[in-house]
Amino acid sequence: MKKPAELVEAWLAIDNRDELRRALLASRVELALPQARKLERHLNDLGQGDPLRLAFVHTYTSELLDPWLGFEAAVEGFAADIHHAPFGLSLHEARADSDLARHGADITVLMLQRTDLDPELAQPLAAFDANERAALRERALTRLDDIVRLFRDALSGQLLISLLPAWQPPGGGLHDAQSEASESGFWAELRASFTQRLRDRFSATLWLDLDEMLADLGRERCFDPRLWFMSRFPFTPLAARALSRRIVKLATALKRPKAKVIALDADNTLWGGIIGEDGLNGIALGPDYPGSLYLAFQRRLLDFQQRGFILALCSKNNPGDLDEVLEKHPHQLLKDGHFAARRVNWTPKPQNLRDLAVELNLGLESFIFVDDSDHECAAVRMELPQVEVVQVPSHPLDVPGCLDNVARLEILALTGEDRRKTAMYAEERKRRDLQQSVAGGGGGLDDYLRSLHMVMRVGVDEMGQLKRLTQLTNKTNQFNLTTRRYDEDQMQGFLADPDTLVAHFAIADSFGDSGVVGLAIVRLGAGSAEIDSFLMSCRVIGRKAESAFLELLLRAVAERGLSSVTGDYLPTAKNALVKDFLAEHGFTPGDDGRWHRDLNALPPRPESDFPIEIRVESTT
Amino acid sequence: MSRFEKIRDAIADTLNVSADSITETTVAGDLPAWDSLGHINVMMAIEAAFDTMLDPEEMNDLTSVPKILAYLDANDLD
Repeated sequence: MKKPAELVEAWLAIDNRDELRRALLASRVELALPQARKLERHLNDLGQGDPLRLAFVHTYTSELLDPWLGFEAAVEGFAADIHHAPFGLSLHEARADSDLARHGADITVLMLQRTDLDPELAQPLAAFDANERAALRERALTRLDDIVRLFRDALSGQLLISLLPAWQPPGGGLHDAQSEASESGFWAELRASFTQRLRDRFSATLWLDLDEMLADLGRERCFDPRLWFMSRFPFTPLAARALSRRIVKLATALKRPKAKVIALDADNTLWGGIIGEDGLNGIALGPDYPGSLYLAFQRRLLDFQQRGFILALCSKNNPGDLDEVLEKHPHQLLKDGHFAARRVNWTPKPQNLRDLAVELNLGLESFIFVDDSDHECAAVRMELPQVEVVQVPSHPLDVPGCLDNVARLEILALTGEDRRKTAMYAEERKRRDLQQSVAGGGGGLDDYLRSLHMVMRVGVDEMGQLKRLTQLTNKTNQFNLTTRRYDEDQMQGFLADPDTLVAHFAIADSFGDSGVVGLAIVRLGAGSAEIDSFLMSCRVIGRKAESAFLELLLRAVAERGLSSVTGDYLPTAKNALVKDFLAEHGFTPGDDGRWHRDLNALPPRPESDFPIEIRVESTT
Repeated sequence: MSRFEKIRDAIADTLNVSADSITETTVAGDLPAWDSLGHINVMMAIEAAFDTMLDPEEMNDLTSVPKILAYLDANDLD
């Protein structure tokens, strides 16, 4: 381990801002103020930061945060312009024409103390009876609500609300938690009630949780009683930096392009070792060190997924090796269904990232690429500077937390939609396509679609498409009725079987050719047919191709003299998009829990009903 | 690096002023940036540079380079 002073000297010698930023973010070294200021100047010499306007409403000294805010802002590529409202609650600043409002801060931080919420809170809580404490809690909540509302109404930008925790242990000492008049319990409850209000009633307002910062640092490292009693500033330099870091992280989440995808390498990232060489039993993953650390990292990735980030795989492996881990490793936490897309091949990673971006219909600037290899990280940085690259630390101990300091993985709000983001991408695209078509066509949707001159090429039982069709069953998650995955052997069996119809389509229009994007596997029985699989790549959604293709299949079924068709919708985490697909196409739910369409009662619709010309390619 | 140079650099870096503007006789009032808040930061910087912990009275008192030098001398800190 190098000494801090040596590290700082080494950092000051780095002449690339991005590289310096990475070095600083990866380090947990405690910096003294002169060092931070020197580094801030160096960062600024390497490139002008983007403006970041911050404001503070404070009932204790906030100005001493400035150098740390300046430093942390510079690390994230910002130049901070900080305004402090006059000391005190300054409710009069909550006006559209105040200095505070005129500063036009991107982020305004309310730095409140407990006694701001009610003067009685200066007393020991145990001095009040239960009713009085309940009344006090209500008054404090109402007061906090009023303060926040006042500033929320008067200011634009993001609001952060903070309440300074006690610098001393709670009044009840070691017995406090269990006490009827527990101080820690009182404040925890108040925090829970208030944050629920923030969630329900306020927009662009976030609880900046100083309790959590305190837990990170510990009371002794967080508070400096000397400064508190001399200057009404509670924090040690360490805490001042940590608080600044939190504020700047949120600023980054607010002002930088939104990150949406975490694209992950596999070997030495999701597990220790190399699956292709070490084998299923040789990789480090499981309850024992160091596999336990990779397990912890996978668990952390699930947290990011719950925050609304989608996970993708971008690894150089034989797909079979990787699948073996996903399917068979007893401790593998992330399964195939956790990944919205995957590129597991030997193609250069920048190309794979481009492909993933196309598949997910997301910009590359929304990608965070996570890989342990110097070479891969450098290649992506060079070719795709818009992708944020996080190099997995070489020591397993540092792996589980390696994304925790990535500012763009912070979120300012969480909606139900975030949690089902993968499915939403398809729906969003659908909406966007519809909007564009209506606007662009000037007429109805069909007019617009007809103007595309779409041609659907349909192939039936084409052995030459074996690989692609197999691939489609394995990678199509969203527009997929049954999500049945097949390997090449199985697919070959279907293609050869005279009682199984394997149809696929490609679609071309005036803008280009999609390639093979749709697949249906239909089992033909006596008198009825059964849709085993029906899937389509999301990139052609919104063009009625799915309907044209389905009705074409139904015509083919009818031509064979079969009069009823059965289909299934097997819900997965990802295919909500097609949950109504069968119902929308005349299928009705039966007692058996499956969907049925009677082709006599509701004959297949003709080709002319759709804005797509169909060419069925003859099979050999 | 001499004791004075260490002090000079700590103050200059902290207050964002040039090292040339600080001499062995500089007092807080000589530098606009060395105001009451700046002083807290200077004290934090001195603590970090000399790995010491000042008590509140010392923090209130050490408002010039000569006083800081005398304190370091008295406590045998480099």
